[in-house]
Amino acid sequence: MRSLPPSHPAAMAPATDRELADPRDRAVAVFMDSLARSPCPRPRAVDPALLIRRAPLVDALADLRARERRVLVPALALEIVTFAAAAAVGLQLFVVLAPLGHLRGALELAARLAWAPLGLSLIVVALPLLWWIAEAGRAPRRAGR
Amino acid sequence: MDEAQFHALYAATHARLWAYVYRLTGERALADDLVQDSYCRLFQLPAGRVAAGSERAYLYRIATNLVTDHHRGRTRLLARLRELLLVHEAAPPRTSEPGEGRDLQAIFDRLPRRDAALLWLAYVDGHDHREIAEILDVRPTSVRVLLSRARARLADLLPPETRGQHAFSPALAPRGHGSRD
Repeated sequence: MRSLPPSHPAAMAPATDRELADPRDRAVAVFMDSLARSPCPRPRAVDPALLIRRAPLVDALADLRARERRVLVPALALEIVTFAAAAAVGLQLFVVLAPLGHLRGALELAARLAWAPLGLSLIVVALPLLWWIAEAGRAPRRAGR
Repeated sequence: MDEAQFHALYAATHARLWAYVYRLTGERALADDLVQDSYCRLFQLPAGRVAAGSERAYLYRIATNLVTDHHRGRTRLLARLRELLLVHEAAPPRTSEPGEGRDLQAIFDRLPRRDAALLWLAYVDGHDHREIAEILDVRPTSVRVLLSRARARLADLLPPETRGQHAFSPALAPRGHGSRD
């Protein structure tokens, strides 16, 4: 932990700080000091040259993960829409092919009602989602993300 | 950043950055991994991305983001597992590393991650408001308020009977008083 030299202004006059006039703030300062000085394991020693060699790989992996994260949500949404459309097609085929008797009317109505929102969502949602996926994959990362 | 600069930065910051990440994560191996990743990512940044003199703050920012991402993933995973198992009690406390100040760390672990980072950066690492704002990606004018709230939250967590009775004397005041508060 960092310890200030005795000549450092902050080290010379801790008790005069306004925060320390409040007992709660003083307790916080005491706690943080105790925490900073409490025993702590040692870090694993690593040669910085090794980190330099490893840096391109770590960066490429981070980039890949960031793209994967950004693409995941729109890809899932697109997949749900696609599966729903496939289900509607299946229902339509079922209505046409199966001998349903008095259920035919109800199923035909269900198939028609299912197609209206799905057709609309495929047109309205799918193209923006595809664009979003493409853009999200290209966007730069934030620091450390 | 060239290799000589990187070596110098590593030598100057590694111990403190590791302690910061360790106190936020509480796991030695994880702190090792995240700190190493932080240095790797800093080294890979294109020239001009980090202003001269801001490398240290940017390094802390990368490390903080990595810690946040790690905890976010872990929290989601734990939440899903709890849902699956229908267990509603809080997550079990992590196992302490041998030799750490367990009581103190246990209290520190109960703070929200950003509060813990703020307090460590301000009280232990001695960053000023501008650096803290850069590291935590908040506005510099917000740091004072956030720090004040973090102090209040920590004070609420401290048992009244033990306030001011920690094992070590209070050499740490909030440093750089003029710029911090």
